[in-house]
Amino acid sequence: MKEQKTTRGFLRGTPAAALSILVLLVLLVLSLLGAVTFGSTDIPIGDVYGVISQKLYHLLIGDGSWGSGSLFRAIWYIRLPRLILAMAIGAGLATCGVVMQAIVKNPLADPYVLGISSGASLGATAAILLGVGTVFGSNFVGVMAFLGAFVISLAVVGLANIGGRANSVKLLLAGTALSSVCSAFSSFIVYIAHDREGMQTVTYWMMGALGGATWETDLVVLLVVLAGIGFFLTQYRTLNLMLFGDETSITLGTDLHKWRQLYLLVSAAIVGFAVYAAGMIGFVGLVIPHVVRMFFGTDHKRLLPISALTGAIFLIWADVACRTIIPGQELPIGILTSMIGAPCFIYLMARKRYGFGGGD
Amino acid sequence: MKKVKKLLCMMMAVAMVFTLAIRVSAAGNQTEYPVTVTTYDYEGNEIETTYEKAPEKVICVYQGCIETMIALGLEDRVIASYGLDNPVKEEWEEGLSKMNYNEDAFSPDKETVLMMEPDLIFTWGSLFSDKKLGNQTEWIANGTNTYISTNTRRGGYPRTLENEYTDLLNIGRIFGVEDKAQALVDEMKNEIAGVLEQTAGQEAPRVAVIEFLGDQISNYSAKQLGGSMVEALGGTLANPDASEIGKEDLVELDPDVIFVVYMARTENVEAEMIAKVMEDPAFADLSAVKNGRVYSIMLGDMYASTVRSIDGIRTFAAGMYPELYK
Repeated sequence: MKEQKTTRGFLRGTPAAALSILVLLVLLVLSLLGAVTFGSTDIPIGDVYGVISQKLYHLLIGDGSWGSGSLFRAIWYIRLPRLILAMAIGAGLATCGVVMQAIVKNPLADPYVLGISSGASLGATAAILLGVGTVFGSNFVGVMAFLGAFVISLAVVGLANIGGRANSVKLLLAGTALSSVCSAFSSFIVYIAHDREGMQTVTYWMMGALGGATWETDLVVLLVVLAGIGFFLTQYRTLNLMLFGDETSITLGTDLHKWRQLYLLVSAAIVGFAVYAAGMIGFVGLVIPHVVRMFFGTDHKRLLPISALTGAIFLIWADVACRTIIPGQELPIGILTSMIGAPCFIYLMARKRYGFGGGD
Repeated sequence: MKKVKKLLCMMMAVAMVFTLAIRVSAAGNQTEYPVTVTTYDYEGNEIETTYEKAPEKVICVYQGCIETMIALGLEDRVIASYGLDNPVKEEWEEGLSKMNYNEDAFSPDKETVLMMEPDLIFTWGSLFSDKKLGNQTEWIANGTNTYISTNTRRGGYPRTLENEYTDLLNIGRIFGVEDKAQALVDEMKNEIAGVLEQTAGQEAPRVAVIEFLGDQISNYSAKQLGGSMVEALGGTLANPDASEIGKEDLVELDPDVIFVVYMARTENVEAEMIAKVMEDPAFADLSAVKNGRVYSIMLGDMYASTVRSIDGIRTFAAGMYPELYK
């Protein structure tokens, strides 16, 4: 029998994992409380917590309308919503990264790998430059991006099933092919629209940013992400099987085909909503799962919750960095995560001891 | 006695009519608040905004908006300004120094703007995207008025010189300095009228306004401000429709005059841009090249240019009718 090159991680015991989850949960709450004190303007820490505790108190006693003034609006309507959004998207992307890597059995997969990003870009480009979808209201760009991402995911599954059942390789090929098609159409729209300002907006949009956060979008994204994570947590056995490939799984009595497609669509929904709320944020979904695997091994029972929490904490602090690096201005978060993520990934690759799990 | 009374009455009536007349004429020049002005939200829908008094805490972003405020003598109403593409004109430097211009950021973020509690944000439409300041309607609902340069309205509307006039006059009305705004608009209109008068009966010059963007040549059509200016000055656009043309198209069009658009970012950019046409062997047979009628024009003078539009008009006119501007 071939030796399994799984990475077990050095914190591999179940108690250690349970403790880690607890610690990460506490860290997440502390991160939220810490991060809310950072902003592009100087607001005294006392004022920040004053506003939040007052508002929470008024929400508790049922007086939801309490609060006014620019200090209140800056904290309650700008800072907090974007932190909650960062948390939700960080958790969602890291989870989807774990799942995608299992679905296509490829450690280089990220949440955007199966054409989702190009589909989203095409939707956004059509919205920004051609005004498609303005009926969806003020965030019509996000809605169109979501539609683009979701439609392309469906198309990838459809295409991969033509001429026989879809497997990891066919999914990847279908994703790559449809990505190229979408990119070509995006470029075509950019070319014919010839709109200087619009092109700037598209570029800016592609970089990803959390500035558009509102409580309404937060609620939707948070619910979708939590539901998605909850669902995947129940699926850890199948996800573990995916690493061993179709043949082994069939022998063990599980047909991965239908699960793969179901997982893909659930991921597409999560990523679609993340894109809807914040555009494209790269490398979180790629690097976080790898880092977590290094410490905790490849068992999805531990990998999923720990990745989600780590992703959430990471994106919260990445957002803080974005708002503070350049005074008075925000760096799009997608730029920052890529600048941090890419070198991390190269480092991980250079380490020889690291394995992805599974039999190959 | 009766006669005296009658005379007195008449005199009083006349006096009243006079004072009334004076009042009316004064009111004609003075903004009476509340003022209602039409602007646009992020999707490009028309919105009505109301000003109870002249704004006193204005945030001004991008070249044209900053310069408009200075030209109208409103620099002391501005609490923060951002986003100059190129230096303001010399006569506006002193004004700029009073506007708290921010060098670090090209545009401000939402929290920064919110904490300054402005009563007006005067900028381009793009700043109100959901990832930047958020839609205008939200700001207006919370007591901050917004005004965008009409030629940055979303939704494919033609960019016209008329829109630039409207913006100047609207800002004049909002701040109660309509006379100054009207004078600036009149200067532009007179310049154009003068050119048209002196060139009446002449054959309209065929003009191309182009910009080199990487390997592509973009063509300013009749739907863009540059094209609108050329047409207002009695010129014909060699290609009034295309937004992008190839070298071969330009050779085919063979316009009488070519304007090359540049952004004032580097020292020699004007000469470089002209050389791109003059020294390209593919263009050697163009009549504009042979006759030395290739000119440069600054983007800021013909793109959402507001007060700078006068410079755009003059540059175009001088290139189209060199004999008038000797």
